[in-house]
Amino acid sequence: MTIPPMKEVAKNIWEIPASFKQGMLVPAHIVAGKDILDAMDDGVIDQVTNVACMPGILAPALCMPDGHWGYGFPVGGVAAFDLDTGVISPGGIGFDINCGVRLIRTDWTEADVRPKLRELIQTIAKYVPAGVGGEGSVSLTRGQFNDITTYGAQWCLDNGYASREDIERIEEHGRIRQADPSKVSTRAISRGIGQLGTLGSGNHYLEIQVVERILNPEQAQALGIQQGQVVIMVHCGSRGFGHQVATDYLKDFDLAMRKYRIHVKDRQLSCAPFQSDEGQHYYAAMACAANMAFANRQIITHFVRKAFADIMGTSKGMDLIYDVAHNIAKIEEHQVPSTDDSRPEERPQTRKVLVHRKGATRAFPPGHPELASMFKETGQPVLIGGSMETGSYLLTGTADAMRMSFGSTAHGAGRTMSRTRAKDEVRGQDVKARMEQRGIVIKAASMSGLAEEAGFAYKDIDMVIASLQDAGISTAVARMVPIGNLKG
Amino acid sequence: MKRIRIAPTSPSVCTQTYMNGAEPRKLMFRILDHYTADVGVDIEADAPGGLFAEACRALAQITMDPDSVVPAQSRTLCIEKRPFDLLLFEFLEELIYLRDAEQFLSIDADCEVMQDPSDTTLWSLHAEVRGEPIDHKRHKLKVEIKAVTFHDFHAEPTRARVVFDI
Repeated sequence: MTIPPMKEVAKNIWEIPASFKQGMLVPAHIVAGKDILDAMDDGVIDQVTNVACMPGILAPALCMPDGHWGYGFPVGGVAAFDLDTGVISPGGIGFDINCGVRLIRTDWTEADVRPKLRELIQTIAKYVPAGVGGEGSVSLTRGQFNDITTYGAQWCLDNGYASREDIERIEEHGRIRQADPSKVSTRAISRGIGQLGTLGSGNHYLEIQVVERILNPEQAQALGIQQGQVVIMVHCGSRGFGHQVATDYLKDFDLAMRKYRIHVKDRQLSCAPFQSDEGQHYYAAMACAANMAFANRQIITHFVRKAFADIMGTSKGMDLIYDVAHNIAKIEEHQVPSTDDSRPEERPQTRKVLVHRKGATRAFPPGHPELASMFKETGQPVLIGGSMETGSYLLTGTADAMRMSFGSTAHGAGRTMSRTRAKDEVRGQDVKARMEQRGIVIKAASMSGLAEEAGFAYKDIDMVIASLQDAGISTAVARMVPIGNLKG
Repeated sequence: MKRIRIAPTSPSVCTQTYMNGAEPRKLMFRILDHYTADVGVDIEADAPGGLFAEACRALAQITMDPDSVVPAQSRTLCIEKRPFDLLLFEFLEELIYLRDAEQFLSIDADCEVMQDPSDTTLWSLHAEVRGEPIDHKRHKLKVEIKAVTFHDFHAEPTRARVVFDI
């Protein structure tokens, strides 16, 4: 495809003008250092500029430095829409609604955990099924499942799977209130009801990590993180339930677009006006899937604590640092330019907009009213999961993120290579051997899945984080490295 | 309804195909390697029924080692009056649903795909899908497909391109 003219409008913010493609309503911004930008696949350019053509979009359409080709939106995509004239699109959220990451701290060091690491991974694997067709150990009636989709992680609090402090440390306090189970199909419930407390497969994992480096001592201390400490990172989402919700509405929207005479550049961008019945029903169903995902990660946390209690003798100190969603759409307040074309000089207004994040994380700054009091000084913790062979990061949100990226940042390292090519390059057994040699204990549900997730199939996580820091949309707090991995 | 064609694969041929140690048959699908995080597949066949059967086999090939699964049971799927592309989309979606909701792994199918004589834009499917319930001790499972996407999606009676979300 044609490489568009790009201008660096702020440090590491590259603008593709609205004149680049017919139909673009707003410019597109790619957040990246020059090296990351030069290596970014063409699909990102095509897809982020397709997003910039969607009705009611507010400037700019964005892609984060971990961005790569996705279906519909690029992975790493962020787009905000006007609540009255804009749309909602399942392709801007992803099939795995509220796929996200959580980080749990411990009081242990690597020296404490290392002798029992293999046993720990085996025990976690016993409690937390991973891979294709894994069934969770929490059995539920349909009524209970409906409650989970309505109340999210707060159901876990009421049923002994969460503490009150856990809930404070989850985005949206673990519950999106617009959830309405009557907008969810029976098929979606049938797919998801047996999967609570399971990881799934693909790039999902549960990792025991060690804090390798502190990058911001003040914030690390405030968040309860120190060098050498063992932490646990969990990456998964709403399982078959969310996948089916997205599929159901994708098909509905495919028809609704004819009714509303909406044209999109890619059929996977199927959408409906947010204020239409179709749009509102999907938002309510999406919120159910998001709530299920919050509950899923909380149930997994409960069983991780149980596994550590079994092997280490206690789960004391295993507090949640934070839980973030990185595939979601949410109504948030942001500053946007005035809609009055006759007064372009007018100051931006603060108003509610619908922010889509697909492979992107909310990154609210210190003092943001949505954050629990414990994060008023630090800003919202952001969790960036790298590849299983490299490292992950704890960051915090900034005021610049509110100004430049609708309060958003990246979500991971970002793939550079297809799954098929990764498998051509390496065998799963070799990846496992290489990781074991480096002291990373790994238990994988599938060897081919392991090959697909090899470190070389991802961007350099350190360069991705540098891109975010230099752009000012996140503050790096700590870098973690894996010592044990349960791979879906 | 007008019957267009019955899938060319007979049960005996399918059984031979996936029994351990059997001579592998020529694949009529090609897994594409240019989708960064997901998996695309190009499928070809000489008729609509064969196209659907081949799509089922492609899905099985991506998600598991089909040789580890025995076609011991079957499920009947009927989808009526859809545009051709949506019929294929929903068939594949149904196979994913069977895995999650019934823990049923599909490795092969006999498919009848029929065009509606009163409205030739609409098609119907009657499929007998073969496979068996998941047995983690015996089955070699690779990766979970989350969904069928509309991205780059294209289907006509003898060829299709499908991208799956992994």
